[in-house]
Amino acid sequence: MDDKIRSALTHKISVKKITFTVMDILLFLVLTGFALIMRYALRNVVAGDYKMFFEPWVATLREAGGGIKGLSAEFEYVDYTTPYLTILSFISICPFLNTLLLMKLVSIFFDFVAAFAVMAIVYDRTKNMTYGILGYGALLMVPTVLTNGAMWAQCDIIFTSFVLWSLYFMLKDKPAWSMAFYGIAFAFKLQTLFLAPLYVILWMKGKVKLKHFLFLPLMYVIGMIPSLLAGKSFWELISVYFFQANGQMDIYALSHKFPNIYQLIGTDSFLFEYADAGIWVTLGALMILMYCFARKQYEMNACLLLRMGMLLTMTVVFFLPHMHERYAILVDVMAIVYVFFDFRKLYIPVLTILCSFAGYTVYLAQNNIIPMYVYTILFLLLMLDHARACVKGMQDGKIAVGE
Amino acid sequence: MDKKITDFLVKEIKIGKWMLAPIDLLLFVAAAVFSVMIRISVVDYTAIELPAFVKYGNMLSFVTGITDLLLAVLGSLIVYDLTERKIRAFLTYAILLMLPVLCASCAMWGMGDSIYIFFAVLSLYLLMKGKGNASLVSYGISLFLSRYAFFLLPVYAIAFMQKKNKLMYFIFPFCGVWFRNGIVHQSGYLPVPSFEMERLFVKLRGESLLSQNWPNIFQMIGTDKFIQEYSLVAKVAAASLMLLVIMLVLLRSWEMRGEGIWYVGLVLSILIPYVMPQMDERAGLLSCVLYLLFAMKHPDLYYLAIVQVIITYISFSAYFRGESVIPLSAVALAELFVLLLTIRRADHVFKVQQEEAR
Repeated sequence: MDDKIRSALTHKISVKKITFTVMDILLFLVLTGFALIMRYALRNVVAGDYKMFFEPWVATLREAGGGIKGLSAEFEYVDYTTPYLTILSFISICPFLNTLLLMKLVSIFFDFVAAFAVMAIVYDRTKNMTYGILGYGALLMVPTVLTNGAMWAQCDIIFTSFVLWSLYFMLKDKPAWSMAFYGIAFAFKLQTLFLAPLYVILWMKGKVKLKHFLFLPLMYVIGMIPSLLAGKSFWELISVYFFQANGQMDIYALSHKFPNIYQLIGTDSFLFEYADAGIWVTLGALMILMYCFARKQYEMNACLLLRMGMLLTMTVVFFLPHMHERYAILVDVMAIVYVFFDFRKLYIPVLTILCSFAGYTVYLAQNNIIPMYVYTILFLLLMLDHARACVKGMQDGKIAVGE
Repeated sequence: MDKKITDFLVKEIKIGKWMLAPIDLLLFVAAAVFSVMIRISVVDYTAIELPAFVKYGNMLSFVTGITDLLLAVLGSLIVYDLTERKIRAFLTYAILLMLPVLCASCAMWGMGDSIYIFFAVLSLYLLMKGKGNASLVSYGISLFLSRYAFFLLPVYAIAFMQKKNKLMYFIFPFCGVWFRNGIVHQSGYLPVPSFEMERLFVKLRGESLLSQNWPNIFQMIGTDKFIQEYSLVAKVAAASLMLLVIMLVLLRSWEMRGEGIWYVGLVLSILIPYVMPQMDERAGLLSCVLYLLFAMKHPDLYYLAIVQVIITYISFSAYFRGESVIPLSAVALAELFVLLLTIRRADHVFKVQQEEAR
């Protein structure tokens, strides 16, 4: 009997070219169940952002008629683009459940979209479905992913999931698909651009073509269509990101609970001077990294691509002023993928997510048990470690004398 | 089409005696533009309402913009000489131009430190090139401009013992100190912000703290007790350490040339302010620049260079804000680790040098 159960559990099933066991299916179901239970436990939490922003926005959309019609609403302040506002507008007229739960459900759905992307990347790398499912489960258990949507009702996972699919297609050497997904991510959130330097490097290395970059404006414009149909002006819709880039809502602190450089030198002094200088320093730091990565001759492999992506994103959030707690979510999810490429680097996702989650704790629980500068130092050390790993990766893949 | 563009960007072409790629030139121009933008962002800030700052602060910010550029070019030349690698030379240029501590000291604070650093670095470069006497002239100018150039004095003493310069040329550093003291301590007046700042410190001497926000030993043992006593003790200790460095290099027969010069200069620029009293926030600037140059030769030490820059900026920030976010005692501990890890490299640096010489 026991042997029968054992053999049933390890029985291999093949669907197309993918082979997995019954145990894999069980693992998948259990992890999915656990992920859903965790999210269910957080369903009733109402964060400040919901009361201050989301609830009034949804009310405004509802007053304007909801659905596509609701997008004609005039907001006092809104910094979301049409795609997410469209989701909110449909939520506003949804007869089932309340707004908060519906918003959380949307984010939870994309938690799973992102988890499937991780599963696909990991499976593609290892050709082992168990690893793929473990990657899927790991992403769903990441505290920042879990709390972002299910607790806070934020939607950062939407653009993150599209970025993950973009990385998947890039690793599969399908640049057009990759850039299309990257374009969709861009249509949802400006923070997608944190990873843009990586795509420039990939272009320099011949992995992407210049024409593929057209997907960014194209997807953005496609995303605007519902609002255009509702009667909004083209300029108003296109200027959402300019408004965000100016950081007009965030000028009261140089870092919004994110452990970056400003936590070491003070987040409340020289608000205007450092805000401008910080942007130029960030661009300068990115330029130096991009020069370094583009100038040297080496073979770009999947592991190096991920390392570079993480380092570039970390550089942006470390130096750019007005960063929020949630802005390192791209790093968090890439770190989960990365550990399946190099298991010795298990400390990277653990510490990265710890640093990131510290900001969440300060916001959600108003807890500041360990001073934020400690997390900043940790984050800095991780960046230095990544930089070293990138240089080593380039040396390992050297194809000619680069200097 | 894409391949043509990317190939064009990295294809090296001969410009003068250099083989450069368009991407190098792109970095060269972009770094200059970004560094100007960083400076413009902070130039309106007036740190101190002293007459020299108010009157000449902006002018000095402009002048130091030029010396910052010269320093970046000089730094890249030095790195190229040390490593013979173009990419590292260009990276040095870009990093030096956008180095936050230099931007803050010159464009924000109006102290103009990049001028003295330029001459100090030039003097070490001349020494490396075998022009020991000219090096002392440049060192004299640097000493005239800032007391912090004093940290490097043992380098020239060692160079003298190793027959790299002549005693007579020490008149230049001597004159540099003499003129500066005349202006700062005596009746002379020159409306230069850094001089005016120093003059203020001289007036306060005896009342000023043992460390003015610089994370050194006094941040760990207390900056406000035994001021008179510890001041003298610490100065003698610093002089002893300088002597120790000189004797160590001479006794171990370390031939000081090439990167060895930069290494000794670097160790001194961290070690001396660590024990000297009345060091202020700018005491670590020279070490930041020297560390960057040294790290380009020893890339595995790059993290220490970054830590040194951050430590210095934390110290700056303590001045600008009136308090430090991180306790300066903890930062002083970090600085001690930087110092010890740097000293640990001594044997390696000189052994490699000796092997290369053989």
